[in-house]
Amino acid sequence: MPDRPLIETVDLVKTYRVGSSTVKALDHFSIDIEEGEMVAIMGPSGSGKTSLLNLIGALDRPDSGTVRVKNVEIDRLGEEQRARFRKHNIGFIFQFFNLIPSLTAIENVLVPIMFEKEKPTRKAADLLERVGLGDRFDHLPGMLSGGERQRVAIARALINDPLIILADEPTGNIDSETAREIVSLFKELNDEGKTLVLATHDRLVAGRAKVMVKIRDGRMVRGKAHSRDGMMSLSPKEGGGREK
Amino acid sequence: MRDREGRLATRKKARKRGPDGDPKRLTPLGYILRETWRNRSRTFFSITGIASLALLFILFSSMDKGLEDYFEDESEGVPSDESKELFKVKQVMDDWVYLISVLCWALMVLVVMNTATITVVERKLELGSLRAIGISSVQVSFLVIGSMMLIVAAGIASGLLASLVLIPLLDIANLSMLGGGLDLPLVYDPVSILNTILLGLGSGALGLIPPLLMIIRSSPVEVLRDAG
Amino acid sequence: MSDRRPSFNSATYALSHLRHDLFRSTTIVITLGLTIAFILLTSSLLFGLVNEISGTDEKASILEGRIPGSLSMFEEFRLTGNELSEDSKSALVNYLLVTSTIVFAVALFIMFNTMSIAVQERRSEIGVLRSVGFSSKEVMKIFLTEGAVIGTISFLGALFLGTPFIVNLAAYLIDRGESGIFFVQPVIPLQLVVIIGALTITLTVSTTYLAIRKNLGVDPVEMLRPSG
Repeated sequence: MPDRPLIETVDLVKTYRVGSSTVKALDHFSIDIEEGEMVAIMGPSGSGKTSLLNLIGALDRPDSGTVRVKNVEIDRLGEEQRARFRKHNIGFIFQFFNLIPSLTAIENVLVPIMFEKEKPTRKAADLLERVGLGDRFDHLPGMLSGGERQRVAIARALINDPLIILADEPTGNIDSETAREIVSLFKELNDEGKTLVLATHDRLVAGRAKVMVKIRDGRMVRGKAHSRDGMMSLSPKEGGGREK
Repeated sequence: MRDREGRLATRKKARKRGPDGDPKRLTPLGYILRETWRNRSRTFFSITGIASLALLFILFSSMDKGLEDYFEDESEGVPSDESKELFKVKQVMDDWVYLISVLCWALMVLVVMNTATITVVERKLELGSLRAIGISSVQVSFLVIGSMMLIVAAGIASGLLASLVLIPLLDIANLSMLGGGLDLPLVYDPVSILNTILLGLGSGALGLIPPLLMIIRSSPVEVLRDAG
Repeated sequence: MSDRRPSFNSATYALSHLRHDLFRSTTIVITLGLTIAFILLTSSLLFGLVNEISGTDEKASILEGRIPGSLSMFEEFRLTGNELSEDSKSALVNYLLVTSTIVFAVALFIMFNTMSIAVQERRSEIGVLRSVGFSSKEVMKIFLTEGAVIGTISFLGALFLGTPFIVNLAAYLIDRGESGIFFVQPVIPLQLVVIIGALTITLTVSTTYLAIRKNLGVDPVEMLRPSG
């Protein structure tokens, strides 16, 4: 079988109801992401970046279209199966860190596996050391700076050795110096073979990515996605889809 | 302030490391305990609320038992006009006690439901994040059930403990009749203790249904979006 | 009236906040409403009992067959009440007096508890209001209004829905469903309605005040920081 891309989305449509109106977050959106790529998705807020990440991350289901990750059509999985899929394949990083305030840094890293029988606490410690928080194991999130919290979140995302790391505005809430360090960390992870998809406003983050994709109103406006046939996804039939 | 917290953390660190230097594990129970402690003022109010209802329930059960015992003794022998009259009085008291017990139960269900709902609403973001990082909604429900059952258990236990002190005291003071002619005892019955425990668990289970439905029906995406 | 600006005041804010978390507000109002209904019924029973003892005209209405008057237990008692010896009658009155005092006290405590649980953890909301320029006095006003709104809705619900619900449920339970379902509207003395109404609103407002007060001094920026 020819190598399929790690992440493959075809004709994704996703609409949200906001009050009485519906917002089209993704409008026939297609993108291929190969294993080991670092993709930055740029676009103004409301352009569909987060929706795309949620779909790739098996958090949400598209209205139509397919998402294939690791050759699994995740849009067909049930709620519980998707949760399991997320746990083993996806590492999520959020803009507001979303750590558990009552747990220490090391415990926050252990949260994704708290229901498992095997608890590799040593690994969690190694991960925290790796993101540069070796001396902060037992600090509560409230005692950590924004950058430190985001590092804890990164360590948490790595605890299950996911193939894919999805980060939604990872530097949106931290200063630029710290952001630079976080991006270097991402780069390092990418060099080790992780596939990263980052939704961001930040040019600094986007600049370090191998691939940059711009989206607006749920459609790709500029990109250089390497798809199998080396074709760009800017052609009207893929990027367009205005007719309903 | 930060310094003090830092030092505190270092001290904790020393305690938490096992002998092999590995950090302590995180279990679901540990998680539940930590979250319950963080919301300690709410936890306190829920526990005292449930405790006071448990106390009321067991007090009324003891009164009921006392009533039974008293009238059993009285009705021995030839049925007289007096015992017929007493029977009527007993009937009214009986029904009254029964009524209060049922309403007590309804209130307990509501108190649990109230606490669980508010907790789930306020922990929306946290529970949504847990689901995003791969904890399934069943496991998330387990966390909520665990923390509520902990509160219910603590409430029932403290209610029972309080009753151990209070009921003998009330019995000595003979408050049940205030010298109204009948000398009704308060009888501490093991069955009523069991009933109180069952009542707590039952109301806990009932009160948890709506918030759990809320968790299972909600999509993590919506939660994360609303919060942002 | 010529002013066409949309009106926005603390009451509007409170109402929209309550509507936003409808499920949460509903459980709070139902729990509060049921406890208030409890309080209304036990206090009117107490009211009547005290009058019964002191020999005032307005006798214990349950003995007269008014509040939960149509209950067969009290009906039966009313018919035979006059045949009871003074001793048995005062025994019964005392019994009801003591037990309803206890129920009254517990219900009051639960009411306070429910409200306390509901108003905890409003830090981020206070932070938002403070940072958009509300003074701490204004923030306090908004929250106190919300407390008063919750109190008023719960009280009205208790008066018009809660008390009939309890009385009818009680009638059904005590009859063991024998006489089928029927409807009784309990009569509650007007002075009690006024007193309990004032008590409810005082309690909800003051509980809110106590819970909010400690957060007002905190720097709004501190409160807006995500906690995790």
